[in-house]
Amino acid sequence: MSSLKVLKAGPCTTVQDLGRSGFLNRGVSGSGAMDPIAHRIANALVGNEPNAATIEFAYLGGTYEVLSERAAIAVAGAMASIYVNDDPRPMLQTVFVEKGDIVTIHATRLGIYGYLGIAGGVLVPPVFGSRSTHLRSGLGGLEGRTLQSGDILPILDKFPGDLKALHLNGMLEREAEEFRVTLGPQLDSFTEQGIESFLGEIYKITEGRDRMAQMLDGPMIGHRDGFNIVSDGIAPGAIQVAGTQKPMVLLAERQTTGGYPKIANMISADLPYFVQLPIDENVQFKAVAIGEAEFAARRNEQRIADAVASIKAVPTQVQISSEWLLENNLIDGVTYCIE
Amino acid sequence: MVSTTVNPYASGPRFLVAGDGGLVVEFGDQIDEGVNTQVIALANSIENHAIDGVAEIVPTYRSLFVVYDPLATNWETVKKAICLRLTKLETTGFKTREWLFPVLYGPPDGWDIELLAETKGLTPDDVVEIHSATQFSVYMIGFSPGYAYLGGLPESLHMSRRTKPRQWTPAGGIAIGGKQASICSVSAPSGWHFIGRTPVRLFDPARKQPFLLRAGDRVRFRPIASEEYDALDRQCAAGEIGASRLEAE
Repeated sequence: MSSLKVLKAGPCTTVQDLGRSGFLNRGVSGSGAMDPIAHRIANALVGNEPNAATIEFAYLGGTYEVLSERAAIAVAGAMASIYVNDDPRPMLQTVFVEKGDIVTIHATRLGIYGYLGIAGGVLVPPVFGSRSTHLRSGLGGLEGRTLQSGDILPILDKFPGDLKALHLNGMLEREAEEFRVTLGPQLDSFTEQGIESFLGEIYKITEGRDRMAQMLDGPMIGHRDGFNIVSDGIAPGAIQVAGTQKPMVLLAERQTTGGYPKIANMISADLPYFVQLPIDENVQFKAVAIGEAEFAARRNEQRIADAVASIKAVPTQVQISSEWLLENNLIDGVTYCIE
Repeated sequence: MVSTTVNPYASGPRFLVAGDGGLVVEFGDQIDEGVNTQVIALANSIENHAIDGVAEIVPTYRSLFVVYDPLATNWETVKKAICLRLTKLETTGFKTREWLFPVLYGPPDGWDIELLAETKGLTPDDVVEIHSATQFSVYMIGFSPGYAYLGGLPESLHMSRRTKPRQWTPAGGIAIGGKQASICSVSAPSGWHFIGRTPVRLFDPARKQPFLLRAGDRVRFRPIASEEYDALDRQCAAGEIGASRLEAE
């Protein structure tokens, strides 16, 4: 077993997998990657299974020193410039590194959360069946906390010998302009006008955001009879409206139960895109029936499977033709600036 | 939308949507022992005989939150399976676990026992006597890991929450908020009144049994002196449970 050393961490860098299941009734929410699609892509690009632990970063990727003999890494999610020592490297592609290499991932653009996948995964010990960090409970990941300078993350000493450089054409994009929600479970806690505002008006992403929740600003959503309910269960994507009468979307590290009424619930297919929105971005909600939401969940799964299936080997010789680069969107300046 | 003039639960629980993957079986909208008993009974039924595609269940005061995998089943199918269960639900006869928790009432961490006593026309000793003579039920585990919401608080100890929450309250705090009582599992901000503290850890990730309580458990409290608290606190810090337990039918 060898390791990756954190030289400089971003403000919210944590070890994440697809989350912890089975402890909601003990007060521990699932946690896991905020954008599970990007997390799965990062894993696929280094030959990992989808649930292998990656390093999730928000805003800033950080700097890492490779202490393993050889490692394979890949970055997916929010766009960021990647350097190995002084050389730029592409996103969405396997990058091979060696002992002593310094990997730097700069500030994210076009998104918030990025994922550094490492062949074999980050091998911190699983806690209650998952390696994901739950910051509020201090569980999982590295000592249940965000990564700091000097941290040592256990990884494989050598990646599997048959691992080839892989490449994905581009991240998935969301299908609908609006963010789709199912209404309820406490729709009857709200006035007709409040519901109309919620579905008809534009809400804005505010800086009130973390792995637990995203606060939105916009027209007030009026309660019918106060804003206290007898606490009940909270699903990922639940949109609760407290005394401020502004909506708040509850995310991976949400509390398991709560006493504010929930007007709606964002559908699982749209949530990974929602968490990537920058501050001040407009959000328009659209109500869909449960059947449509479930159909979208299955379709989302199929789209991820299709994206993973579209991952192909990078030509082995470095004689990269301009046709190949064009075909793979590598020289449009968005995905990757080639030197 | 449900009219407020009719009882929406007259013909049975309401089935609500909580996203693609969440179904809420709502038995009532108030804190009520009979309602919670039905919630626990349905939770027991699903725990004993799983429903296809249901990943997790969360019993709360008045509803059961059912988490299902939308890739494996769907809301309608889960609802039908639960409706079948409800026709033959047994609300009595299931095993409950009973716990006895040692509590150091009053200072140093039972900040509010004097105020509570004064407000209710009692002495602090009366508060201890009433609280430790009560059998509580765990209505739900939520808010933070292992945090236990208790039902059964006698009316003589009801007291509405503080207008200004405290920024820090201790793990193991024994608290009262309105009609509810609780055992706190981790340090957290709270607006509840604190009357004592137990050395028992409701949540200790390093212990073989990380979580002690679950919804449906019965809980009683035993007053202890500070010497015993200190001794038990050391044992609990070393990974012992510190609360005694007996099974009951």
